[in-house]
Amino acid sequence: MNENLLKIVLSQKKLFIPLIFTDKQFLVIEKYQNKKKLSNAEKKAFYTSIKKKLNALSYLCRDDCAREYFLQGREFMISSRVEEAKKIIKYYCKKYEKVFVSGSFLFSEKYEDVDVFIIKKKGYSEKFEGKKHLIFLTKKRLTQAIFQSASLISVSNFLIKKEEITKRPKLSELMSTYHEAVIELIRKEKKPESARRLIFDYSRFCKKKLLNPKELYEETKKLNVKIICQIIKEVLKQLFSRTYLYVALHNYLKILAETINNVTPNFHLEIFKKTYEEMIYGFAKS
Amino acid sequence: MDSQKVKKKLTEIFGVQLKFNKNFDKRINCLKEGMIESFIEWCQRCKDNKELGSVPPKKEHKNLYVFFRKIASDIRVILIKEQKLQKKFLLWKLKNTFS
Repeated sequence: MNENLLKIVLSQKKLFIPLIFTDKQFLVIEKYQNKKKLSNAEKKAFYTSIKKKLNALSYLCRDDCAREYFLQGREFMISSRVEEAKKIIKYYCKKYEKVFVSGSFLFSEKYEDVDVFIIKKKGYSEKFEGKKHLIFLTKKRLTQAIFQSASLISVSNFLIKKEEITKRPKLSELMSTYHEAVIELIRKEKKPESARRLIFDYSRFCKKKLLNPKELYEETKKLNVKIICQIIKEVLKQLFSRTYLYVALHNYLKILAETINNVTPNFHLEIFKKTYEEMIYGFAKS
Repeated sequence: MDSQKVKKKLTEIFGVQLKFNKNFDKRINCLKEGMIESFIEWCQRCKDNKELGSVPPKKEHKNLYVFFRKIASDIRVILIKEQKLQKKFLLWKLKNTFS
């Protein structure tokens, strides 16, 4: 919902009643704006009639919403893409209040899709509209490291607030990411997403630097299995105590040894085993 | 190919013990024909022990062996193989989630 439009409507009551909204509908808008609980009848009125009228009115505000653009990481951007990004924002801000464009579209000659981030009140979802990859997220989710990183090279119609990121991943999450990253690299996947996530966390926790999308793209290109094994060791050592790692990895190694006996192909499991053994014993057991 | 046909093909590969998560139909219907074919081929390769998987790090999941694959830019498939006490792989689950 376009917050500015709601403010305009509420401040110009006489203009909208009774031509566009009834008195009752206006009261519902006021309650919605003041975040008061709506009754079932009011909810029905809001979603079946009022919201649709407000959406139609928001189209009239489109020039207002795209009057100002904010560019971050301009030095990395291709100028013609900035103009295209502005057009995309202008199009989507007819319907959504806060929009930003990020990703390889802004800095790389070759790109697969255009990442368009749209701020919504609730939920997270993704969809494609032609070459546009629409990512709907909340303001709260925008504070996550991966989205903060995306915003480092971006064109937006609002000022993206910088947040201090403190949340760190769990050991099991990092281990799963590492396993998937190794498999992606063995498979020679075009877009190794887990490997990308791992290099991102490595830079964030070991080098205390939030990589921007271009740096992340370039770092990911250099990766191979040997490097990724080294990276996971450094990330784990940085984030967890030696004792905790010893207990957790020692137990996991037992399960891994059993699985190696039962599963084929298992050469990748041997890689995981070697990495974890080197971490906790200082060398790989034969 | 509709989701029912895909389910039937996968059941032929893995057997009747195969379980699907509730979003399966919805996600499969978003995929192009070529993606579905490549997904089924991948499942066959998992069954034939030609794909790489891993054991989840959480202790409570130590009896599982997990395969994953991205089949579209926003759809990721996770195939879970459950090994029972006799160390035989008995149960396969299939789920796809947003990446």
